[in-house]
Amino acid sequence: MTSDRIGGSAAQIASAVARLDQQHESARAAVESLAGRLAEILGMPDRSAEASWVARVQEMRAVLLIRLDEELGTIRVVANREVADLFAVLLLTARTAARTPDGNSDAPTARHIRATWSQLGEAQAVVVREHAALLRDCDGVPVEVRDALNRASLADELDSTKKSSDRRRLKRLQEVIDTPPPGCRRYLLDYEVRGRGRAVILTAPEDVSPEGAEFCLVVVPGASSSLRNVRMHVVGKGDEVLEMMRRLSPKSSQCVVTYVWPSPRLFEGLVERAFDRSGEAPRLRRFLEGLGVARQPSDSNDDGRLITVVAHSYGANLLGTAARTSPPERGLKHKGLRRRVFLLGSSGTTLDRASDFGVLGVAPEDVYSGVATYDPVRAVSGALYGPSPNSEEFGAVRVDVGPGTRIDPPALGVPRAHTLGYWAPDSLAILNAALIGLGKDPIPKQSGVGVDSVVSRRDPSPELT
Amino acid sequence: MKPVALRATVLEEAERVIKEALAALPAAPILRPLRQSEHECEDAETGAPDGSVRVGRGYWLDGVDGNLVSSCVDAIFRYWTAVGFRIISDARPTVMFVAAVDPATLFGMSLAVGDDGTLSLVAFSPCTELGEE
Repeated sequence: MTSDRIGGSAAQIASAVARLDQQHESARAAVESLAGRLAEILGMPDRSAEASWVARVQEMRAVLLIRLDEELGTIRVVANREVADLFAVLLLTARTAARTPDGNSDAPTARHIRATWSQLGEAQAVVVREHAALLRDCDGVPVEVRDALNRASLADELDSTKKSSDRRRLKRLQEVIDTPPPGCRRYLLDYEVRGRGRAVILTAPEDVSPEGAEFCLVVVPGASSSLRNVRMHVVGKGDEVLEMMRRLSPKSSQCVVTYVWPSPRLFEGLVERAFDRSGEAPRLRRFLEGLGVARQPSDSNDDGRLITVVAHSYGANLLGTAARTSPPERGLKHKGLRRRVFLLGSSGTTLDRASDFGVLGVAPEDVYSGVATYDPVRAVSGALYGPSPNSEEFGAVRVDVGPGTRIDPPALGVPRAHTLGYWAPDSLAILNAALIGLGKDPIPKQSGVGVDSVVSRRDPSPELT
Repeated sequence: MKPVALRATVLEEAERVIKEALAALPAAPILRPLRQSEHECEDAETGAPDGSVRVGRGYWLDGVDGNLVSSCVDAIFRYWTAVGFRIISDARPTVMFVAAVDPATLFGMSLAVGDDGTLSLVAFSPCTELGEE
């Protein structure tokens, strides 16, 4: 059975349950009316019915209502369970597709999941109760539902996990979600402790609906990203950009998602097709699709929504792979929603040109790129993963991210510490990420806005030159 | 390398630089908390020891007359220059945002003006190994 038919069946049964509810109410009303009428007739003075007859009618009324409730209640339970099980099949198919590089092209899209979920009626509660493990990381499921399920799962896992390294990482994650910036709230959209672990965390001001913000920015970190350093990514990157967006546009609504994925370490990423094989690319693509589905404006006149992905270092390889391996019929274009990409410190995306991001719903003029003067990725840029995103031929809009921070002395003539400076508070990279994320024009390349800075290995305190 | 510092000392220093910068403004804003952060530094960020953290404090500066906003940015820029801070960003006119670092303490600061004229001031410490209180 195809996903469409499964989803259709679930929706049909849910709809039948809703109709059953209406009929149930009508049937109850009919019994009440009949009993009332009988009592009225029996109680008329000229009929002089015995009091026991009136009592008998009342008794029959009660029995009828109980039987009606029981019968219909049983049907409703069975039907809701059937709906929940059908929906679980959809969730499972979607999950498998999200984790398989050559995913099932018939798998339900996030849009499909969302549409079916919204039609489940009271079966939603059954799905939450019985299929929480499938629901909590499924793209298309509402953010608040996923957050509640992931938090419950995290609490359970913290109670049951004995391995000390896993417990440490889970506790770190718990601390991060429990300590949002002032006035903000965090939503845990996904996490996994297995392997290097992952965590997808959305942060938004308390007065902003997580699915209603005008501007949503996704930070995809680079090499060695894992659950172990979740705090560094969420607080040191995601929160920095969110704060800058809030400072530059306090009246608009924003949210930031920090997508902490199990990234290859620096040299692991040099293996050909490392990003294809990991299965991470389809997962990111589905996540971005789900984010778009959740953020489609309900008002057709509202076309101001924007999703921006800031992909740093290997994060850009992952995003490029997600675009390159994306089934073309499953573009991420949604009415009233614009998408942008900012490639930061990237040596290549595996794509030939900026316009190849079109399959992710990004127009060529909305692809931005920046690399710091001292970022050693310049040395390998264009050599391993397609043309450099900072080259003319790639065609991205080049922005200023400053010179970065140089570490002295260089190793083998190459400046060290590959990612320095981009995420320091108030950096040009963060400022430009915020401007791009707010739909504004960024500071262009070679603006001269930033100044040089050097870190010496012998004395690692930054020394400004 | 920066010596091990007490958390309270780092926080005091962050609040001190904010207070001194506020004194340079031609307005007396009402402070509303914006940032209260502490996070570990990127592994290779400064060569600082594992577990080094960056502490940040920041405020919205409410109640500043719209006519004084631009003067506030000029005033803080002049103040930083006068006390020997290094300007690390001046993004005007693209966006009203200036940032500087105190070369003596390596504390950084920035002042931003939102598109509605709201001011915000943030200070952050360098990557520091915090000792026990």
